[in-house]
Amino acid sequence: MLFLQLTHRGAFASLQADGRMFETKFRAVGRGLRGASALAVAVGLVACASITVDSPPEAKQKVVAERAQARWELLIKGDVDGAYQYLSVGSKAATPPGLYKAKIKPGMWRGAKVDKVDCEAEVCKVQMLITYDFRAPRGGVMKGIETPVPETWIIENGTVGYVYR
Amino acid sequence: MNSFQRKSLYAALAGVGALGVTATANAVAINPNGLGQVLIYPYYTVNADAAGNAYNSLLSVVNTTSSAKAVKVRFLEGRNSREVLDFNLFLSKFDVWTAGIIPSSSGGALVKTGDKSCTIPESKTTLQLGVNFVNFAYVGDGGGDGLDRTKEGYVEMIEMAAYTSNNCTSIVVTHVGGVPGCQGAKHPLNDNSAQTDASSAFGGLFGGITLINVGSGTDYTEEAVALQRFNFAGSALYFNAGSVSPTLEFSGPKKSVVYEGFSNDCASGGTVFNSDGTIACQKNFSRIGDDSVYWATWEGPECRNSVTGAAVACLKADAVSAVLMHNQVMNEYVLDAATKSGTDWVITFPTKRFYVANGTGTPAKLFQKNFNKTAFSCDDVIINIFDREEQTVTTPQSFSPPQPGAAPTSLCYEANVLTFNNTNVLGSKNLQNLTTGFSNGWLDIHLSSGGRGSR
Repeated sequence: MLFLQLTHRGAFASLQADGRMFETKFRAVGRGLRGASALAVAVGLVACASITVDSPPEAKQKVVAERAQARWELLIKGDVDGAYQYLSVGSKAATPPGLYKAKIKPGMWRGAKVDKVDCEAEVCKVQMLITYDFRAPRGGVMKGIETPVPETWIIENGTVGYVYR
Repeated sequence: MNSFQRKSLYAALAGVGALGVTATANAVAINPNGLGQVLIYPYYTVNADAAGNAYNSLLSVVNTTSSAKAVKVRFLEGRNSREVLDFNLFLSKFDVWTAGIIPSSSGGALVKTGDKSCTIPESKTTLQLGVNFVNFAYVGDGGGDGLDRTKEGYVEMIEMAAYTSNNCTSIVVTHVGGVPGCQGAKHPLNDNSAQTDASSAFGGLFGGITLINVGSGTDYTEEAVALQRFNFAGSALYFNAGSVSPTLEFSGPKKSVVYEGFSNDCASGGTVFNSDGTIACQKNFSRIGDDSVYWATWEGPECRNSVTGAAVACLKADAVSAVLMHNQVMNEYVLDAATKSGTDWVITFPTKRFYVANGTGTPAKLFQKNFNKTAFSCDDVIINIFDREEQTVTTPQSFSPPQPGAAPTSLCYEANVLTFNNTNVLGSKNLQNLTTGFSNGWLDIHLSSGGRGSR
């Protein structure tokens, strides 16, 4: 266990270094996309603006399901930075982006679908069904394993954020 | 976790390596390369961590030999080591079998495989669809009847038989085009044919298990502990599917090879355990080569008290217990706040169930208390915790919360999770917490207390 934690920390350090490198590359490549990205953010805000604690359950469930699905699509693509944007305000405050990147390891996930969403007041419980592949360190490859993954989302500031602990 | 296992077994592994050049004993021992006739996977879990993300536990077993094998695969819950599922697995030569233990809608765990290797019961209609773990073996033991108990525990695989390449069982379990003909019309695999065709098991298996936190994409890997020369009695150990045999009690002959450690040899009050459950060099031991490797016999006239010479009962699991047991566990912990680090250790006693009965009272040897309902079966330990700058706190340092009626510093289960500052990385329910003001350091647990020296 300890060595795993140390490995985590080592990965964290190297990720931070890599992150700076990649950030530069993204800036150079990303200028052409900036307009499209800004538009997407604006649309997102409009779509979520109507979601409040008092919204109908169906509306909450729909938005939460969409955002939960979208977050996982990003993770499956390996876009941890993108997935980080879906975190709740409190989660972002407790977990800076670098630490989040060190804790999340993309690569094994192959598919995601929303199984169910239940909302009560500002809290929504989501059950995702995640499909993943795994290569055993000293054995074979296990493909297409599907397992339930529970999530908590919170309605805040007109949108919903993923609660990461 | 894996680092713990590796460290705790390090001395034993080194000793067996040394033995390899001096003896060809038909005695059970830990294999330093992880190859053996019995594999013990120290811990599985499908519990959820603090973030609510449930673990999956994916295991594999590899047959490195050119003979087919029949293997009893057994899953045991971690509280009182009661069996929650077993079946017979048939590995063709050089085959790998994989499976996942995942959360079940039953409230417990289930095992599921996409692997085509033959099993009894037939895999296609059972394991490939998923089979729920069951509570039949522990209902009424007082430790809780719910299926949630099946969500953590450990796994045993015991090779029961080998098959020469020209017999029917070997042929039907061998993959052709990636698929074995397990239930072919001509020679469908069944217990009768598997029994008839069986030859003595001889080892050559290795495996591992990975605990996967799917939500975070993180995983922790354990290698299975391998017992070599577990049963060299001259005949196969095949038991039909549906039988809870063989177990770790089935070693034969009842002999073991134990490495004691360079700095703590027998002459100075060593760490091997005796047939009467005490610690010292004992009459059932003899040294091989140097002062650190011991050959022990656990049956017949050699089962006697070292002081009085009176006969004492040797139990069937003693030979295996002798090679697994330790009187001390040491490892590091990391609780660094900036990286949100946490540490759990897993301490598993795979033979405890053969010594500890249900109810009150004291077991005959090794452990201090029987499994007494929700007081469980707690054994006192002494702990010394250090930070990285040599500061230390020695017992009384307590795990919390203490078990009702038990010594505050104790290990109470068969597969124990020891967490630090309630970080509970694994989300275990079979948990002891150790609170410390240190951020990082190392811990030394002494299992020698209450007159029972090693476990």
